[in-house]
Amino acid sequence: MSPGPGQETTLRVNGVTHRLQVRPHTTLLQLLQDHLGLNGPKRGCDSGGCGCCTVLLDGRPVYSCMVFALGTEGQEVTTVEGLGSRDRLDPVQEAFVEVGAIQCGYCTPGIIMVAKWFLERDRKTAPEEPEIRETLAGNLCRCTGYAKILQAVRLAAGRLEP
Amino acid sequence: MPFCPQKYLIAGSPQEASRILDAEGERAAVVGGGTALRGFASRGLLNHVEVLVDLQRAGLRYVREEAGWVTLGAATRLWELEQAHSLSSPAYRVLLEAVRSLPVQVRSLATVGGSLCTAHPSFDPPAALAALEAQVEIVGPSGTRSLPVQGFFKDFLVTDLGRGELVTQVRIPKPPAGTLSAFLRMARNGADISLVNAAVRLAVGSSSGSPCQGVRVALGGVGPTVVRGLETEAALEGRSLTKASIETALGALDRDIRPWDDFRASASYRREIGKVLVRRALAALAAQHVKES
Repeated sequence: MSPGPGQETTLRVNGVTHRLQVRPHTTLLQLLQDHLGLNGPKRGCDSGGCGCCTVLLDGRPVYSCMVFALGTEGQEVTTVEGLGSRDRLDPVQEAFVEVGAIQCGYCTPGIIMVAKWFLERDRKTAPEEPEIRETLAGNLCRCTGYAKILQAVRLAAGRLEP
Repeated sequence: MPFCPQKYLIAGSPQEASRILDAEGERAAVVGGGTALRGFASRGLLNHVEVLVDLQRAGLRYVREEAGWVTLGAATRLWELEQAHSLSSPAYRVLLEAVRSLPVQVRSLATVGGSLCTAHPSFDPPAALAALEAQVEIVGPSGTRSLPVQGFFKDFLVTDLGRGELVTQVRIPKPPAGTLSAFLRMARNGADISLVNAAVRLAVGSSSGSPCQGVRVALGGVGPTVVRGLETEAALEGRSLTKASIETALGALDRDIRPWDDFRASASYRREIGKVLVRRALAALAAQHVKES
């Protein structure tokens, strides 16, 4: 079978509304990468096991490789490109850079999105390590061994404004 | 291009979804959260699917409390169960712990209905719903019907759904007062599905050494479908929770389960871990009871 014809959908990505023609099989990850040129969310397993495609959908972390683009009508997507800017990194990004929690960088955007959601939700300035580990359970990293990642999340938490 | 649906339809009601499913048969697949479906699609298992039917706007997203029941709409996302006031008592902890064992990204998308309809024996919410004796409600061309979660699972990845049918809601009967519950899982890592899981629910009277009542034990990953440990339950019913009664119950568990070998774990490992998890769950409930009485 050849791909089905495009259907129209409208969604907001990083604060900008887009009206796009998208084929039925297209995932949100493919929409972000191929239609909008956003390479922050990465393609890893493409089947919801590694987490490097993680974005926020209506404020909640999701595997964008598992979301059908045509199911996101009217919803808000935030990718890592929507946090901070080149001149002024988001505090979570800043913390990752500062402690050296980035090696190849492939898992980093996905982990930062989950960390951002976690820190903003509870606003705990000193989260316990087991809780951070559990929150990041859906994100795999092959390079760092996670120690620096946990350190970065704790550092970012400590810098949360009350 | 292997996975090539031709149409993505957003159903406005369960009846509309049923009509599409009846018309398309095997050519249609339902999208709840899409998590299991996308997983199968990326493994080349859904190349025959031409129509996707999305249920997110079909009015099936709710948690309601009715006389004697808590009712969950089939399209309710799993994370919404964590926030539901109706599920906050210890009796439902088994379901919330099952949900919390999943990665946050899955909880954001996966639905109650999807979790059941995938009929994978290692999924976590179905074992909890089996221990809670949930009823599955189905709408189809010949009307509405209802059956217990246990009867809904026919075989590995096979449900009782016929052509044109879909699950609309899951009803949980309110457990007896004083019911405690627990859920435990064993997995290779936090992102993988469970190797084995155990969901236990029981009510214990207020004095120490009181007998258990309403014992319900369900396990995943120890057979082609979620297993209710009927002999295990019978071994504990009316007895107090002691080391001895727990070990007797675990002997009965051996007869209840039918694990198999697969690439994740061997049958003997699943059998052993099943017993460990049930033992730990019962011990946790015994400790919880002492604390709360």
